[in-house]
Amino acid sequence: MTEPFIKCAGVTKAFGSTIAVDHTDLQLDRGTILALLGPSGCGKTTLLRLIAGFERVDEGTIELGGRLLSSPRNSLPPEKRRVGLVFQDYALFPHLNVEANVAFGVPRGVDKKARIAEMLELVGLGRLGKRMPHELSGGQQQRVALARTLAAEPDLVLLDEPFSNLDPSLRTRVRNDVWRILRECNQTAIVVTHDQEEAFGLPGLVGVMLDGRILQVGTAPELYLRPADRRVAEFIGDANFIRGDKQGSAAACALGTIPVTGEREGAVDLMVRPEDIRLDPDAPLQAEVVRTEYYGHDQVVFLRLPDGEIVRVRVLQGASYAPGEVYGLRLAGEAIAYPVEA
Amino acid sequence: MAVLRGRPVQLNAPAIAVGLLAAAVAGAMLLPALYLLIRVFADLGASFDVMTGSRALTSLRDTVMLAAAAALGAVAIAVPAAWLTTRTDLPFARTWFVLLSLPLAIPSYIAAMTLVIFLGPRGMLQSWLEPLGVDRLPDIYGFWGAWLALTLFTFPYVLLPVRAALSSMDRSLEEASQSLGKSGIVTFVRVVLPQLRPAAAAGALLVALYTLSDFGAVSIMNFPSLSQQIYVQYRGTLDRDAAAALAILLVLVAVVVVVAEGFTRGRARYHPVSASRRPGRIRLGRWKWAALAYVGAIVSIALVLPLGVLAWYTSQGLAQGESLQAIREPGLNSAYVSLIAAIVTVLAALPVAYLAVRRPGIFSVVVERLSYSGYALPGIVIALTLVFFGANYAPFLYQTIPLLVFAYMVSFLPQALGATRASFLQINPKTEEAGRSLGKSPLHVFFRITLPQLLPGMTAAGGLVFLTVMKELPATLLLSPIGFDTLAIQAWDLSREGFFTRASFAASVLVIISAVPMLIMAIRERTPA
Repeated sequence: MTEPFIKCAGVTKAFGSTIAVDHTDLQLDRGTILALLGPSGCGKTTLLRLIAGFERVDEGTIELGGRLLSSPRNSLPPEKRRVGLVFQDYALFPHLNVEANVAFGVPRGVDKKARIAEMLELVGLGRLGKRMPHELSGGQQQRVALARTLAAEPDLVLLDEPFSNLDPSLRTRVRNDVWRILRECNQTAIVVTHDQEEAFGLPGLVGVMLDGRILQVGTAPELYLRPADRRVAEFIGDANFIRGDKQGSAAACALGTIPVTGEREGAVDLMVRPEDIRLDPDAPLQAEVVRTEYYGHDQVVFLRLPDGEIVRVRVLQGASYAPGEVYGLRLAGEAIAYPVEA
Repeated sequence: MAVLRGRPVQLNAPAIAVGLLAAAVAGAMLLPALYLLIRVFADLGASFDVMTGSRALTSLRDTVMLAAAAALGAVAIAVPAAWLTTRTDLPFARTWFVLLSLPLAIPSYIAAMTLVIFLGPRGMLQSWLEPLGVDRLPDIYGFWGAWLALTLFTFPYVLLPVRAALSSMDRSLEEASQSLGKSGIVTFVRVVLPQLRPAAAAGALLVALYTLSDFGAVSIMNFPSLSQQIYVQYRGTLDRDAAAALAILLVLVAVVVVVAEGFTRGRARYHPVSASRRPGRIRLGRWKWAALAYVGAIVSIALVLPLGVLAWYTSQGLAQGESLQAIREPGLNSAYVSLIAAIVTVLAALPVAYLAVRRPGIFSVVVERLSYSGYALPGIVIALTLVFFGANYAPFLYQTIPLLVFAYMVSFLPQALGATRASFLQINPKTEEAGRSLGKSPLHVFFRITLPQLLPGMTAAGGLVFLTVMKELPATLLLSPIGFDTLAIQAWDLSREGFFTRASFAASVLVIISAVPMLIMAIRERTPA
């Protein structure tokens, strides 16, 4: 097994008494695109700035391609890291035109003109080289920022919420363009986002970061179907948690005895996705409708189990469910067992 | 997303260098005040005797009274004028506003000089009235002359903030008052005026500070204020300890005003600028003529009179064959020393502004506060302490251009700092980080990314300092090299000796130069729709 290209180990950063990044690890292979997904304030932007070298780590190390970038004692200055950062607000140099912006980071010894032309071609802005930044639309500024970063030939590109400043109607198109460009360059990249749809639309891995720590890195289906952590399960999609007693691959709970995966035995919390519970007139388990939330193409029905616990069941279009009505419930698929949460 | 603006990156060599530079600037700013204190403490008993002597106390009382009277006078003139030009259908309101703010461009000593020429004994007005049997006018010298000169030429300090407050005020408050059954007058007094109070107070304190620091007008009007007394002591008796003790008194009063001004500035926030609904204009009806007479009278006395006097004497001089060549050398000297002072001051402001904006913290707050200390040091005090310092410790610097430029820097660094800081704040710090992450060193990023974006602001700051130094009087008088004649010195000396014709040449040039930034500012200010 080869060494990972990017290796963050135990990276920690606090601002005063606030711990922004908390002993987090991250390993990525060359050529991987990672969407770093997390809510506001989870520390993802700070992690990006630590990797870019604009903040110093308090603990831990960051390595890139075998080079030590950061440790508490040593911090390679940003300009020596070969890490390109695309800023949320693009941060184009307002006093320079598009060409000069792109030319700024072109390494010595590289034919500047050819490089600028190549980059502008890549991002599809070949004709706008003489424009000033304020004369460009948001989507165009975004692409100039990307071209400027790529022109410097970084080993790693970091993108901080790259689409949050774009009009929603533009977002999907620009997003697909950016993915295509990163892929074409076989560029290793980390894209920070708080938008799950955006993260899952990425042709690479997704990392979930919560409370200063990356809890799981995997493909989108892996994260959804096999969340490594209860918090990940809750953050990605909707989840029911039901107390249960696990023995091997089955667990006894309010839903009956159900198939389960997970290493822990005995008392566990079972995670069941609402769409994995079916309303089935023939099922022996009876539950009473409490209320419904209607979303259009589907709806969530809240039902009270015999033991009083409420579960959420997602059903596609169809009948309306009135409070007080009683339905049979059946589990389709598997529950996942997590340690009991106090 | 967390806002990470201006968080310190790390303490690298350039950052330390900037910190040291800024600290050096702040230290230099402290030098005059520190030296003054040393001087006074060296013979505390004697200094204390001077400070508590009846002459000093009388002078202190006179100074405070003059400052208070000028502030009150300025508010009384400016508030109605601001209201008329902002909220009513006064014809040519915008033009009147520009004309009303222009007196600020007339240096106080030139303003006082023209008042004396016009209203003084054997003055122009007297000579016009003589055929009518008026052989004596009320005495212009003393308190009332100084008050008139300072009020008439500083009231724009109140006019500008009050007008800004008025034009950003939410119209719905007035409508609410009227819908509650209050008349227009009652609404103005109970709703509009209270909202203007912070702006008017801030402006009034500026007028008071200006009056305390003023040297030219009080000297011409022979009014024994502290700054005039300091100069008299220094020149006449050469009793420098007495002058130093008086200077301390003056600085103390100025510090009180500056602190008060900072306090009102912090509070003057309660007029929301969210004015999506601009206030409507009040119809003056038959009061229009009275309003026109009011603004017309102010403009006549504060602008037409001094400009008219200068123009008349200048044309007289030209008719008598005086040559403008006489002001060529002083003009070049003024421009030369002002240019150097502008460059030095802006360069000194740069590290301090950088520190304040990009590396906030206790250190940068201290450095920035110290750098603003020149604001509370009247020009005559700065000049005097540097004379002491030069004469005692640095005779090789005494009456040389470097020491003069240093005095200007201490006086006008706050001005340059304000403008430089503002343009620093407009730069997106992310552009600097982008430069770094594109592989460029901090120095490279500073010269290629930061400096080009700063340049317009620094140029404006330098221009402002240049123009202010051109008309500066006390430091120029006390510290200029012997034989180094500037426009300000010439206007001062010649008018003191009664050579008004020749003085008016230099004075005219100074007024024209000072009017430039005023005009630019007035034109840039948007008309309320």
